[in-house]
Amino acid sequence: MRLSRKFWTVLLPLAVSACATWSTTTVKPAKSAELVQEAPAAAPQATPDPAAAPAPAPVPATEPAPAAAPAASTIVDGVLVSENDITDKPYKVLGDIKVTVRKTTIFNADPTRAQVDEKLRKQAKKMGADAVVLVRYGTVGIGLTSWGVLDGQGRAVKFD
Amino acid sequence: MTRSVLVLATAALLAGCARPAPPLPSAGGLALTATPQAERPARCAALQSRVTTLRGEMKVIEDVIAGRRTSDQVAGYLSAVLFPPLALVMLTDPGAARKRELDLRQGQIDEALAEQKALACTTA
Repeated sequence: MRLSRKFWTVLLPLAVSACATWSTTTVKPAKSAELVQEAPAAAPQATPDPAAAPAPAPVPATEPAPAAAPAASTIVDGVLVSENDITDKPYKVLGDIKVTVRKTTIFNADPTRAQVDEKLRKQAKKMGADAVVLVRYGTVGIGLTSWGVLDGQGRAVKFD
Repeated sequence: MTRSVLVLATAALLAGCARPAPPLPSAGGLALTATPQAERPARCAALQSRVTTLRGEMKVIEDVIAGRRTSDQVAGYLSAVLFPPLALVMLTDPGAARKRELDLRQGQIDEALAEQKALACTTA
């Protein structure tokens, strides 16, 4: 009996510290009005003002617009996770995902953005999403339930 | 004894508390702006440059917060142990101003991304 208690006393902390992090995920489904977000086909043309100075040389319609800002974007397991938005492709918003990753004990390493991305990706895959866009992160610090907390949010979308 | 523990715990919590991720912008998007076709590439490039700059500034602030996290916590502990009234000073998170700066920049990035979307700038 005594041996058994010692065994559990040793095993339990080991088991707990082996799980370096634990996390929670919440999803806020999109309202029906938000479901479809069409990417604009092209920017609207401004009406030329005859009184204005001569207009600059016209840009051919076939010329592609310059690239949007590069940010951390990764495609793993068929789901893109990006801090940017998809600006040139229509998509449906499936919902907003919020993930919180916590370290289990004070001795574990702080949670990382890669871990947040992984949780976002898993949840997005469950929802049938193609991508998680507009991803943003909090700052690692102490939370009410852990010595190291990092949370992140993103919008799960499905391409049309 | 209980009070000391409470003061210590509060100071430690507030000295290095986590900043939550800023809220996502509304899914409605931005109304299309009447940017002439000719000006669109330049505007997209300007927005791209702005987002890159803002992300760079955020990285610098995040590095400062991460670098000071331990010292802020130690200051919280020491103030609570050596001179408890000082713990009241620590009740205001020393990194709070920097965290507000991060949220502000994230808001500016969201505005720029919304405009990129409205202009149909090519996704990188």
